[in-house]
Amino acid sequence: MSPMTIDSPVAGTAPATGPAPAVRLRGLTKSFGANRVVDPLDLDIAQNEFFSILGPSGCGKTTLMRMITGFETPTAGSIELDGRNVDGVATRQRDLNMLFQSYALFPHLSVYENVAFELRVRRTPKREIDDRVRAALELVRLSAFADRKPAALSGGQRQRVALARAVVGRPAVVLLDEPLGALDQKLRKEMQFELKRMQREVGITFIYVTHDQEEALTMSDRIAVMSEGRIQQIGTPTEIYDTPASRFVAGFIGSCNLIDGVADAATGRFTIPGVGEVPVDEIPDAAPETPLTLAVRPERVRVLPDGARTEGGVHLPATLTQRVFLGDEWISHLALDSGIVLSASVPSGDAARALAATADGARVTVSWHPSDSRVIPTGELA
Amino acid sequence: MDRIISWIAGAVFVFLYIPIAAVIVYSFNASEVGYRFDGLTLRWYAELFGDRMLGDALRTSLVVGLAAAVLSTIIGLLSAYGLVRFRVRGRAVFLAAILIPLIVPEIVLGVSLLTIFSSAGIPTGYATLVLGHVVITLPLSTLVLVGAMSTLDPSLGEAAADLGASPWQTFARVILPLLRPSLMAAFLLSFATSFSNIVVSTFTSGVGTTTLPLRIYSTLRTGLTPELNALGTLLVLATLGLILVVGVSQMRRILAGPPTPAA
Amino acid sequence: MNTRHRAVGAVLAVGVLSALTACASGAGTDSAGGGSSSLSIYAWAGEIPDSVISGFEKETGITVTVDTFDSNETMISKLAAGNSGYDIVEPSQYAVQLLVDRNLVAQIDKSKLEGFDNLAEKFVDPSFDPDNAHAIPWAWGTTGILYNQACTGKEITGWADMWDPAYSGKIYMLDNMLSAYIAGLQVEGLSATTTSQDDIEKATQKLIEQKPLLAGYNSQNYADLVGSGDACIAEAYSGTTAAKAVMANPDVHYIIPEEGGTLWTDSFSVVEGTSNTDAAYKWLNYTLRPEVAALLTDDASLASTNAGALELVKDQSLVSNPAIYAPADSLTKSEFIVDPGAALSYFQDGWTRLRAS
Repeated sequence: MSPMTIDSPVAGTAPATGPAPAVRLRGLTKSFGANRVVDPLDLDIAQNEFFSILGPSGCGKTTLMRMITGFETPTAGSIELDGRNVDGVATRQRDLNMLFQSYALFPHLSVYENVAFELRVRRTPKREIDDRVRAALELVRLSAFADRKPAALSGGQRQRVALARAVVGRPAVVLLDEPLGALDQKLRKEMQFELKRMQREVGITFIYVTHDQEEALTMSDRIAVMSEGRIQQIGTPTEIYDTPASRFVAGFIGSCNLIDGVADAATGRFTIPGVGEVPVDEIPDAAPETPLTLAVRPERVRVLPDGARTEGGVHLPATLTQRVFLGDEWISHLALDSGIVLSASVPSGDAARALAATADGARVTVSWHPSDSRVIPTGELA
Repeated sequence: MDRIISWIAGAVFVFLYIPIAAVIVYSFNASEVGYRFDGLTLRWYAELFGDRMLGDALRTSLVVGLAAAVLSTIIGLLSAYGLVRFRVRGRAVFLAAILIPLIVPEIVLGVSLLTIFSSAGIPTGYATLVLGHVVITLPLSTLVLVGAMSTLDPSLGEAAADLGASPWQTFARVILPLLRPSLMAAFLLSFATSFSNIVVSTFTSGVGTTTLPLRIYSTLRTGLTPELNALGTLLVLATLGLILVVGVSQMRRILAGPPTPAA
Repeated sequence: MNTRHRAVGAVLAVGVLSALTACASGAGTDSAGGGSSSLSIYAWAGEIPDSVISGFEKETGITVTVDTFDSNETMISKLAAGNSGYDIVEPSQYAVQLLVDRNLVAQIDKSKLEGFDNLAEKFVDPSFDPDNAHAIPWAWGTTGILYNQACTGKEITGWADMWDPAYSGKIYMLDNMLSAYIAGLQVEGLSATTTSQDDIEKATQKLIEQKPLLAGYNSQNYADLVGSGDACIAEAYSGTTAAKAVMANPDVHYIIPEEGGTLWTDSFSVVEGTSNTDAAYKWLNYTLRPEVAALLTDDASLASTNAGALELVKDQSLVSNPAIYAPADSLTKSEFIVDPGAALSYFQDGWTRLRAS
């Protein structure tokens, strides 16, 4: 199976040549029996990067991570850490540490001893152990809890201990396996900032595995979106969000209106069955009959009074079917005459007030600017 | 309703402990016959300490019990580690084989062991006693330790390896400390089983290696003497002492640790 | 962590060392080694007083190890397995023939014995061991009746009283097949040593008839029960327990039933194949001395087979205690119980039916 084509997102966003990448994967594959869990994939992660692997459950991200750490053996392909091939090298000899989803703190050891574990195992001199452990606890702001046992800590505190334990040994890479999953919403948001801060302060490459796209978008330098064992797209959060490379990425990241149709590269027009032609900025290079999708984010869709027009925009008649109030915004559902339903998100303000005044079932005009939309291939990348 | 339950609980306790209390009381009974109380005396304790054969038997039982319990716990631990950690072919068969001595009647085990030893030319004695006792205690310690190992979080082992621990270091620093209560349980269970065993001991003991229960059992024909009450009392006190020592250190750990974990 | 390793190591080391040293000292008494500085005896508990052992050790310098068994059957299977390590064994009278049949005991070389003439007449050339070819009797006793006169209200004279409905619910029989059949056979006027299936069947019927009157079959604490008055009358072995019961309560008496009763004898035999024969014969000769045999009565409250010992017993009240030394005239009809051989199956069959009825 050949690796990605030149047009692939991987090649397009690989970091420039310089020091060896922290992690380089080439043709990495994993099958359990007849079950292919990770398709051959290539990936470069730069030094000191906060890199996220994002995807739904079962997409293979955990298996990928376990292959990098060494808990699973690849069926094919190579893994290089800091330029050195680690094929056959045991986990404990790879210069990386992992933060487990369950934290895996040693219940019989105190916080101090948990953090000191790696240093003790590597027979670091006692004085140095003390300095480094205290520094690590300082970093995660748990110095006062040094003598407690994990059972006496809250979920958030345990996670910080696990992080301190992972960084105290100064590994080149830290892998985090959905570490914020067990925390409540508010704590999660706090921890996201903390993690980012710590990564900057310590200067270690973080590989962050998660299914929560908000986390990935908030913290990452770059994200790899995975689905069914394959990487769909690699890019910065802005790239992923604004210019999704496939229908999957568009649908997975944030909410998105996805309208299937066909395009004519010659005329530069996109035809929606049952609706008509809409102007678009760009149509990707593709064979004439390739199924394409128009993607436009709800926050870019405006609800105008029936018959209103804006300069150079797309205008479609629709019926307002539902309005949902979310505090900081209104979500409205708009049904086009062909039956397609779009959603528009309207932040609090004048437009929101106007929307509130409009009754359900009223005729309105849905509008967006072509530059706010993107035409992307409908199917998964080959 | 609660009062009824506490009454019943109290009654159960009394029922369980009356024989033990009786043994202790009668160990001071001046009368030679068991159905009368003739006043207090320390005569039976004096006889006990002067009874050379009983003393030898007690020493034999302690040595054999200790050796068998240690061996049984170690082998049980290694078996449990292998059975739980690795997907070995024929795990179920291996486990069943270990558990067979639990089901086979002891007399069958005893006779078979004696036959094997004598045809192999191994003289009966401490070695054969310990081997015989390991056979009957191994299922117990293996079961206890397999149960304990199964409840260990497997990601702990991975975490230790990830942090640079060799398999031996993982075992010594993470697995063993977490298994300590179960190791103690397996050890004590094996020791108690070995100490009180009669049937297998009958066949595997040799010259000069009569165990304590065998010695006591053999005095049935001539009649049980009150000296045995003194022995029983001392054994009860020793057990209480052991419980206190182990219990106190456990209590200290519980009390020194922090209160209930935060939400 | 290191201290724990050391602790575990220490425990292991201690355990292994103890085992090894014990093995080593045990090996010193290995009869296959042929060293005559040790003697291993396999005997009934309480029948070889410490005073006899230490006296022997002091005089000969030979270290004596005594192990005890709970039944003749255990002893026989231990010896039958081979390499038991014992030099002297103490079988009951019916077990002697069983051992001889299996070639487990050696023939006694009379020329090596001293003091054989000290044995009382009854125990010379007994029915269970013709010409004392394989066993030298040491201790003896009887199977008889222990009763509490305050409870029975009258003197008891024989087995027949144990079928008396007046004592219903206060009668105990020994929980031992052959012992129970002694009563069942003799009360019908039959011999306790019969092998006739008809005789045995009659006894079985008699025993079944008795069962509803019994409080139970008991070989453990019948003496206490009779002593306290909870039981009126019990089939009993003579010996320490019965003696204690008689001495503790003046109402308690031990008698040989007029129908005969039986005798049991425990003898010393030399284990076949032992190379410690010198030490073994030294032991036999030592225990044949009257002053040594007297210690059996003084220290273990048992009757000695040694005629010369009687007058040397320090505590003469023991000699006159019928629970230890049955008076000679009561023993005229007593028999030695021997191994029933093939007839055993008749007994077993009857006993099973009796217990199930």
